[in-house]
Amino acid sequence: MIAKRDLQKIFWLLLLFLLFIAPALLMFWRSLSPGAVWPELFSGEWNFRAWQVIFSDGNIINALINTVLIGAAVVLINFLLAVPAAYGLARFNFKGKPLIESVMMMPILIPVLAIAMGMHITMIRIGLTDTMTGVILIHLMPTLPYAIRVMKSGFDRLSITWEEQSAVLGVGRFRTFFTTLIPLLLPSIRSMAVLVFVISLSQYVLTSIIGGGQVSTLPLIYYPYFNSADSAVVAGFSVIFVLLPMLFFLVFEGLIRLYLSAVRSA
Amino acid sequence: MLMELKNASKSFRDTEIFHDLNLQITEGSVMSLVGPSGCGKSTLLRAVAGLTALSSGQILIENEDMTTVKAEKRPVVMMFQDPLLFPHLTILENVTYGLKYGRNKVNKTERIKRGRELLEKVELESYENRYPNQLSGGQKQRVSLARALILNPSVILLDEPFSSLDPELRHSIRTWVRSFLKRENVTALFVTHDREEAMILGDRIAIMKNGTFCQVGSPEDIYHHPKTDEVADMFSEGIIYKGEFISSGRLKIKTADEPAAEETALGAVINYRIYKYGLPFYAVTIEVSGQEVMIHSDQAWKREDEVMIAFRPEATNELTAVESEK
Repeated sequence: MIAKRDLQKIFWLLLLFLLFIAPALLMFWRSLSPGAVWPELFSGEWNFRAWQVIFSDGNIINALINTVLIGAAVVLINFLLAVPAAYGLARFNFKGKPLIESVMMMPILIPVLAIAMGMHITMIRIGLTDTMTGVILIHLMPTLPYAIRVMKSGFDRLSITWEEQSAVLGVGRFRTFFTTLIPLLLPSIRSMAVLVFVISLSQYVLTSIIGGGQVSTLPLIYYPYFNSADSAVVAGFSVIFVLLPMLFFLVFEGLIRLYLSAVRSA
Repeated sequence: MLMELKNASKSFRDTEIFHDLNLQITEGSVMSLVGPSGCGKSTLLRAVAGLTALSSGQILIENEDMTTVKAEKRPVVMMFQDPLLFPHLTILENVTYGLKYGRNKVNKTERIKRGRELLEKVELESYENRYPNQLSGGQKQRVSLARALILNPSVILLDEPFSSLDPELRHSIRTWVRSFLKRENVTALFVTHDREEAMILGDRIAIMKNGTFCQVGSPEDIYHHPKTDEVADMFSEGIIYKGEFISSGRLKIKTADEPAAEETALGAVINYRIYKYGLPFYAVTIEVSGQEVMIHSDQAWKREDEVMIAFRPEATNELTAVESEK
């Protein structure tokens, strides 16, 4: 006899599986067996041809590396800029604070294309078009406002007494930041990093305008592939898109572990 | 004098929090700071810790002027209402935090040695590798105390450190803390709104209200001889009669014809009876003033009994005129 609570649990797990995991698995299966169409999912033949195509295409490998590098750099710069900004907004009261807060939200309130066109001209002048640096900078636009928001609410939730406790134990502000605040802010830092990485990963227009086709990222070559008739390759490509944020999260989690153990053994 | 306040004042914008406070704490003694919430006692503690600046006046610790010294540079540690143990560090790492990152850094072996010593003193040596979330509230406060005392502060500041504990635990830990502070000869400034706690921990007591000290003295002195009716209200048990404070211990419940000629007698009504410390106490309302007071009596009285409250006037407890006008 299965208890009612267990039944409920099974129901929710099943629903979760059907809605979130099954589609990804199905997509992976499609990349192996392009003929797999409902209801004959497992009747066709299967092979690794699509994955061979993907990994032998220099463009894809190049785009994959670019995407990861740009994503990581954007996350890092977001962190460096958003944390001080959020700290200032959360901990200090000053004249014009609401104004500054709304200015910081501007980039996501104004259509991105309008800004990108203007930025394009500026970047041509200073020679940042068609470069990784230019693309990284332009990716800050749709990400930084969110990063500041996420980090600010993190600081808001964190009572100032933690900092005071550290201070009365004789620890200066700078050290307190690294040994106490960052570990306590990890939940916010995690969501900030994942959010920023996924947004960066999804940029098409900004990358193509500023990168000028010279800086190739996954979204840029995703479209041409999507139009190709090879549905197995498209499926494989999509799987990469799904896996990339997960891999990023795993690596990021590893870095966090390293950081924490460094804090503790320092 | 280990710690001294000289005309310490603090205002926040236009609001005065406290003004012209003078206080001296001798080495190894505990000063309890009692007052209702909003009287400025916590702000005073924060000012001593260096977490907020004085508007004027001075804070001296071991004869050195600390008024403008940063919090992390003062030889003072504060314990907050919550234990605030760092959740990402083990108990031992929490205790040694200040030795590791603070002003006087100590090498790892020494740090661990002293950390274990302190954990032993607070009777938690077997918990060194646990994390804060595996400890009870009282244990956490003891770790917090160890984390503070490992730094050998000149003064330890306690900001109602028992208020987040449940009553039973509170009872046992405050007795424990008292004997611990005495054994280690720690100088402490202890803020509370609880009279009993103030008496248990404090060698001396400062009663604070509306940003001033109403009275500073030994617990006995304040309890038996409150200087103002506010102090009497807050700290003592008894009644105020014609500007004089009469301790509950001097009051007797009698029937109407009983009082002797030299006694003052006031009409009163019995409200209820409770037992405490093995004795019956009666809650009595004095008719003329409406004051309620608890009085011990070995005679049996019933609810609603009309009685006389008798005492011999001694005129030794006159309250200062201005404040007794109420």
